[in-house]
Amino acid sequence: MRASVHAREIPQRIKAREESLAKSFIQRARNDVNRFREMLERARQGDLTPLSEIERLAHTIHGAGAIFGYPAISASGRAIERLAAQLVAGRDPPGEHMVIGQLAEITEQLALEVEMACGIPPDAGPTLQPRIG
Amino acid sequence: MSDDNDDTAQVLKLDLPVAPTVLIVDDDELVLAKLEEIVASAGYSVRTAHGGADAMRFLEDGSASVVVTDLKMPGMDGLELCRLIRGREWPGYIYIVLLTVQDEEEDILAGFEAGADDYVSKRTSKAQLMARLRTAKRILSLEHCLKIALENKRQLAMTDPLTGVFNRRYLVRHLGRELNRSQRFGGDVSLMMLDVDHFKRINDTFGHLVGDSALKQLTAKIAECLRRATDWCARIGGDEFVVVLEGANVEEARRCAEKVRQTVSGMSIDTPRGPVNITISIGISGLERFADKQSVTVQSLLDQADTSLYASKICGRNRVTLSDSNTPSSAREPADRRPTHASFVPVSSIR
Repeated sequence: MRASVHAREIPQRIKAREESLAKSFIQRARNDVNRFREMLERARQGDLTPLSEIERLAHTIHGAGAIFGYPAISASGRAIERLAAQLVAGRDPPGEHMVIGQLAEITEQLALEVEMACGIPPDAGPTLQPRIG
Repeated sequence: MSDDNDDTAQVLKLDLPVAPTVLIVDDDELVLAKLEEIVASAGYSVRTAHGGADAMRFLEDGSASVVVTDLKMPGMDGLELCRLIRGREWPGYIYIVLLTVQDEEEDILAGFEAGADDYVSKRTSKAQLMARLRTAKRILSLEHCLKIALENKRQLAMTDPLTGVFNRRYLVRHLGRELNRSQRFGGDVSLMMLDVDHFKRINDTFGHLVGDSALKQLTAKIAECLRRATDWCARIGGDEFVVVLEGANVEEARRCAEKVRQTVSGMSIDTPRGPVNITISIGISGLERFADKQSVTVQSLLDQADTSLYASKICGRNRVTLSDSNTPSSAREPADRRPTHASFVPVSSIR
């Protein structure tokens, strides 16, 4: 009897912990979206110094989105990471404004995906196959 | 040959005594927490590190044998961590899994080139990650089995199968090492050579099984008398044994030999005709007995002990004899050319 109660408690504890971590991820992604908006605004005004931070944060979203089972969020993170890296490398100075515009668009796409993910358990998220989580 | 194959097959069935500890390395606190939950729930012990430098500290403490690491991290990245791990010697193999969202062909190849054993996308399923960890466990189990097999072979190569004491090969190698140490840094090394008095009679009268049993009981008695971790015994022939007393002078060796002689003379072996008493003769040699210590070799020490043993025999058996200074290495010369007992110092007898 005692063993069966214990056996039920373990998966519940793990599930609760995983849900809590997923919520933390979504909350963090929300904060990251706001930070992207602020930093892109500065970039529009000619201050490109926040781009390295955008690249770093986007890489985090890229990886964590995959781990937490949100492939759309992960894909947006990847797109932002790549565009930011392109600007940091200074590959196309005349096209900077256009790239910053693209970054802003993807950021809003990311914002939408994060809001969509609120309340959706990661396992039921828009994944093509069972993901980690 | 088939026995060897059976032994190998048995050893390869062994599993790791405990599940390997998995070290998860990622600069993202949430990813670390999530992976820790997944891996720990599968029964692994888990450690977490926030970067390569942190991971190296865990590994140096011997805290993990499987590393699951992110690729892109500030400071030391996953590739550098792989290269650092592979560039060092560890007590056991460290299995490395690169777990990353960077899964382009060139990233994967760079990961393997740096020393990773596996490369897994963060987009993969939980089930696949667990399967990859089981592969890691299988490889580490194989390494564990091979180490056990190697240790078994090493033990067999230096052990006498009948009595379990060391064999001649071990004696020559380790006595040589001890002798070199004594010659370089000072200190003593002494040894006693012993054999069973009239052992051939025991074999001829009662058969080899009884003879073998007598030798086993003899080595057990010798072991009872050797109290220091640096004292050890080797069987060098049918009923011939050498006890090496590292760091002991000949007087200490004599006391030990006398104890062995008395202990053995009080023992009896079981035979079909009832218990039979046995005795042993012992010859002692030691580095201190040589005027020119630097020229002493394993062979000269053994020859000196053998000559002393011979003296014990011709003086009536069941006794201990110390070699005199600078005893020539003539024990294996014809009997009529061997030194007389006047060259030795018989120190004990039953009479």
